[in-house]
Amino acid sequence: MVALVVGFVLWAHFGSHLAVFRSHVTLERGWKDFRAAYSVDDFGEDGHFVRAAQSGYNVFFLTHKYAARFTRKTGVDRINACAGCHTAEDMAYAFVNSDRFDTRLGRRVSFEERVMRCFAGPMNGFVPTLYDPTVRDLRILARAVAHHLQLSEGARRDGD
Amino acid sequence: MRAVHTKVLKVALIVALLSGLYLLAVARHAERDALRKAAVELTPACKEKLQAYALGPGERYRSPYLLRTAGRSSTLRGYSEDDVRAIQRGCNIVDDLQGHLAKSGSRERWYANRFVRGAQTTCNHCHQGVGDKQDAAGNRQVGSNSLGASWVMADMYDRFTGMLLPLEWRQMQCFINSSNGFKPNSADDLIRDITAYSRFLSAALALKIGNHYPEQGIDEIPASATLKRGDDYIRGAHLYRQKCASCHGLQGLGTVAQGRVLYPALAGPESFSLDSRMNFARVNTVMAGFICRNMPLGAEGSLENQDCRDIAYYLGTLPRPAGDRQGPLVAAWERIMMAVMPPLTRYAESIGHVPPPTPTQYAESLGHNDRPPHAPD
Repeated sequence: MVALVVGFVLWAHFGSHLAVFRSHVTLERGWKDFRAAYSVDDFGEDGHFVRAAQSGYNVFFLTHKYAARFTRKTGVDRINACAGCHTAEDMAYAFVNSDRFDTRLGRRVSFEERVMRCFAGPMNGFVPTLYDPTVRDLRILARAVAHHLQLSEGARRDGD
Repeated sequence: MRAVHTKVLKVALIVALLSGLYLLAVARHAERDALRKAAVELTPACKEKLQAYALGPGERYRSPYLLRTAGRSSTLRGYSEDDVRAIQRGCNIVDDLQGHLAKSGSRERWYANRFVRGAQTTCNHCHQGVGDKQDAAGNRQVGSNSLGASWVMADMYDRFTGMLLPLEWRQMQCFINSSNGFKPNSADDLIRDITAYSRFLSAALALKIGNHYPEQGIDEIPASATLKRGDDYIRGAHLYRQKCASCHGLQGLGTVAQGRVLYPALAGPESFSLDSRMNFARVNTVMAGFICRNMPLGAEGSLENQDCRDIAYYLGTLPRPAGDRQGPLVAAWERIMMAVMPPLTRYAESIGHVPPPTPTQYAESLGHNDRPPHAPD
């Protein structure tokens, strides 16, 4: 029985390749450049926040791979990731301008809800919950970029 | 035939029950919608705060604070009328969580009293200055739990929970521990309005996302920031009587006059729980930091680090509600203590009253030649 449990733990951590069992985030192409370009190291070389930002990066640029549960898009689709429509800076500006009244919807809409709506609409998929790490990590990526751009609440792209 | 009648009756009852629940939900939603659209009557503190920051609907927002302090101001995205009302409601909630100042009571605060035990708690007790404490010159107070600064540093790793903590979840913890209550839903209007207000404060103060500002959180005081004589709750009790008891009461039960909380309870059933970070027995740096930076009102910063740790230690020994982690036995014990200790202490003090030693006497009894700083004989 003990061997079974130990075997499962070893498999889960080293052999399963399931993200839920891994404390590190898969290094995807471009992350190192992104990290340097947006000064993610301001938050430390490693740590919960940086890993969440990296996970957000993976979801943002490779949505069909890292948020496959929430999209029907696949690798063969022309637009299969958030990055197909938005830039990371768009996300940062959207973040600091979120939680505002949306005239089309007739109510205040949070950043998380925008992400959820993107999955349901343009990503032709399913709505993650508010608490899903996919939503959280995208928000944290937006935060990291907003920090690099030194944005304050309500910052506009056209500046003054 | 009778069996069929019974079955029909059962189905009708279930349908009636479900319809009733549905209608109730519809009515509640309609009430919420009406509240969202209703004009907000601000508390006096919020009126002053939001006027000073020129909150109003418009295409653009310029912070008068930034203009005053830095001589320049950037143009930010303005607020719609709905956004303004959300910010106003958030401010009201922070200032007067239980709706003591509202015409329709807690209704105007999204029935926030559902989420707290007792009738005294409000956010403003810990997040003073309606979440934005400033000195007379308009300088933001270090370690004052600023809500605006909390917003820009939200989502960071929280060492107490081991999580990346969004502001909404941090608020939930406040409700559970500091308010000794229950967790609102993250998407509840109550939480969203407080977030809207926090975000507005960060805009008004021109705080940048991800930057740490000195007014964020509490400027904690570890033992290493003292002369390491050791924390002493007897000395803390003495200092408490000198510095704090006139407002918070000898037993730390707070001061309430005409239904309004003048000074919050630091112990007893209206106080924060054992699980709160304010409880010295749980985290021995937070309450001390809060005291040193924010107390006594009007003389902030007048206490030495060791004084604050001693007072916090003493407060940590007073009975208070158990948190979720302690279990029913501790909860029962604390309930007994909260009921028994205040009258018992009053009685003990009334018979053969021995005045507490002066700081000099106390220092001498310990064999110290010095006396506690800032403690007049």
